[in-house]
Amino acid sequence: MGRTRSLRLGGFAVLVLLLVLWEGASRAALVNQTYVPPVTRIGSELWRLLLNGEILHHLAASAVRFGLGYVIAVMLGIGIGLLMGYFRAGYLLLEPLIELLRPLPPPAIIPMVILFLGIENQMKVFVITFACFFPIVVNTIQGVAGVDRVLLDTARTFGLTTRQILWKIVLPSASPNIVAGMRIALAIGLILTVISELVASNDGIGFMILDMERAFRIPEMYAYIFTLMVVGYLLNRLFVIFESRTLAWYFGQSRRAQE
Amino acid sequence: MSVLLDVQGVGKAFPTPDGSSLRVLDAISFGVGEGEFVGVVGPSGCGKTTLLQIIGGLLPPTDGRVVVDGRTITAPQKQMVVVFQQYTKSLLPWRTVEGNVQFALENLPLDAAERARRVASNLKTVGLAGFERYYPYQLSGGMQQRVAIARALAREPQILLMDEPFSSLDAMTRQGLQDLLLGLWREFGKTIVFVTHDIEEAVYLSSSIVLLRGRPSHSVERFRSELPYPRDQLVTREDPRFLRYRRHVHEQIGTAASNG
Repeated sequence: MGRTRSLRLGGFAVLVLLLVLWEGASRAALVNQTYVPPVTRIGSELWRLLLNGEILHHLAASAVRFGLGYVIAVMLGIGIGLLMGYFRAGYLLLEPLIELLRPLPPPAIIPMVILFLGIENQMKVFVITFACFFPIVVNTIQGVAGVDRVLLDTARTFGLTTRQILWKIVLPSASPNIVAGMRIALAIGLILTVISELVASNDGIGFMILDMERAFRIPEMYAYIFTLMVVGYLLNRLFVIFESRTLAWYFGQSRRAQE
Repeated sequence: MSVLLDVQGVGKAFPTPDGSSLRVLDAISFGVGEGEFVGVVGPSGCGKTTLLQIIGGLLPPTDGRVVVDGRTITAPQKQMVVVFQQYTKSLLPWRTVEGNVQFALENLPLDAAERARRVASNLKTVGLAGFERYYPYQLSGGMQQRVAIARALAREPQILLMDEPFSSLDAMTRQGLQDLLLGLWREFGKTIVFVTHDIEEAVYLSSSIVLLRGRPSHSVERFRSELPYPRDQLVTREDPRFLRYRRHVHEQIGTAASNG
């Protein structure tokens, strides 16, 4: 326990050390100060942008795109995954389509989507949804396939309808896989949010990173990169909490099985 | 005694990968009277589980039919509940003990008070009062199977269909549950069809025994047990009639097993 604790502190120290080295290297002009401004300089820019609300404004713009795209992908992914996993006809009908679209790197569809949906939020939400959908649908199908036969027979002996079986047995039973897919989609969603903003936008964190670089306001560029980093970190922490709440039974069961 | 459940010439064949079909059950016939405890005994792999699934309406027979209360079974019936062998797989791991019993009642037209009453009283019946908030993984195998029994009882079925429910439990736990089941049967007057390959278990529990034999399995014999109730793990098992039945069943099935 003591060892773990001190190593954890050590991990924190590594971070601080790197930042100090960065600061020193920049101030001593060992690196190009214009491209690598001192950390404190970036920090004060970050603080200024936080106080004047700029970060919040762009964060909100990105969050709306990401949130909408992700939520739609979760609903579609789980819904279609359940249908494909549970009904053989659904699987046979949709599997070729999904397997063809899935290997496509999502950014590749952006130019085409711009043709149809323009460059505003519709396009971005569509691209994010498209990218997040696949890991969720694939994991859901896998989870449904793993639902135990005995559990399904139990539901049938109690006279549950297909709808009740999907809702009360299949969905919770597949939830560990579904949540795993949602976790992968979270990271992918963030990537696509930034990419779609880099391609065409006039607000959002991804846009600001590019815009500040072009305007040669390098400290601000770093400030937005740092913001993105913190957002990603917090999103992951939030997801871990969500995961441990919804899957408490699953983790308890796995721990028990290992004893 | 009137026949409540009638198995009439039931046979079942499954398609095999090479395109032909494998016959598992053939012309199985027996009747179960109201309030009887019928043990169906056959060697491992003789299709007992398949038979029980057909009786429970979970699987259609290839030929023959199952009649309950004068109606041919084509789907699971309200008055019958199957208790499965693999209790670890038949409980919903994301629900508590209470939630699992509740699960059985959710599509019955009951009000909340009646549901709560049935959950509490049946958990008490199987000796699990106080464990309402536990999750299945926090319970021992025997306790998990008790939850499965409480859940089946909560539906207040006329007929309990049990598929080797105690076979994966240790000997002590198994005997405890056998006696619990006999107590429930006598108290509530249920009709029970209990499938097992454990000859002693079948003889110990049943008021009537059906023997399955051969490949494909067919019913070869049905007899009434003269062993008196209440039964006792020591006294009953030392009764000469117990030993005689045990020997008889063993000879009937054992021969088939060694031939097969």
